[in-house]
Amino acid sequence: MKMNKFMLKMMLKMILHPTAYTCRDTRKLMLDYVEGTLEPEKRRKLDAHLADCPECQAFLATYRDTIRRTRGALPPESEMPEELRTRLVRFLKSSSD
Amino acid sequence: MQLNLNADDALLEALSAKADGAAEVLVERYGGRIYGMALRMMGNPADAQEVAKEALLTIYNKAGGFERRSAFSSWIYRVTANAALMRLRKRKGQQDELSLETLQEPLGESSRILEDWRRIPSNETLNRELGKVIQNAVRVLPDEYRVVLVMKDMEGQSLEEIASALELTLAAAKTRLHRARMVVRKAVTDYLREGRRTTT
Repeated sequence: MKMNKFMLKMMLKMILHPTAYTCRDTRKLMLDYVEGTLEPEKRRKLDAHLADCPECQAFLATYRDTIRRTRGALPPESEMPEELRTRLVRFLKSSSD
Repeated sequence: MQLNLNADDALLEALSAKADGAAEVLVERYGGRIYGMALRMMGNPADAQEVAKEALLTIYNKAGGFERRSAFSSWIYRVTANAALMRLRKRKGQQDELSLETLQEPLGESSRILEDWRRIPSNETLNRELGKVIQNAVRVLPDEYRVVLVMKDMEGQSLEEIASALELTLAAAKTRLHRARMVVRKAVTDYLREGRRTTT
């Protein structure tokens, strides 16, 4: 496998700081990081990794954008039709226990 | 008769007593939310109407037994999610877990994906198209994943509430949510790449 500059840098980091997070750790913890539910020590380590890793920065940016875009992608017909509202009230009244 | 049921507590009391006007207030206050959530989970209005009907009936008939250990609105989401899941199971049977392999990406891929995403112009038409791509990706997710994604990223429920509603561990709810988001992210990326190929 061809070793690029980025991979060499990450390998060197792992040797010098064996407890530092890898890209794999970062991906595993990304959900908690984004949700703000990561423990402070893990968050600090993940921030340290992100500061040095453009790949994980890119992952984080697109992961966050995915959430934002999903939230904005509600189906247009999500309003409840008025006729359905009336029908549901009638249905509830006629079928109560 | 006009009922003053501003607070959920008062609505619960009225529902328990099957008071006049309680059904109207329930449908007026929560019908839209229940129907919207059902629509996003089921993907079509006909099934969404059936789920809304089922959920409202459960709420109307079981309000008296609601133990108030969680907020009334959380219970409503739970009842709706369960009604949707029941119907989805009847519709298609149980689906498999999402394959992790299809969600892993090679080193360097995230930067390329970000490059693609940065080229998204802030134009109304493309954003509408992307919205459809996302809706479609959500629609074809395995049911168990779609329900979690809809509850979290569309309805804004907390992961704890979702785990409790679907009787999952918190870890399982997180795994499903993460994988569902990865599928949506991939769908957007594929669309952007495909679009670029056809325009160059």
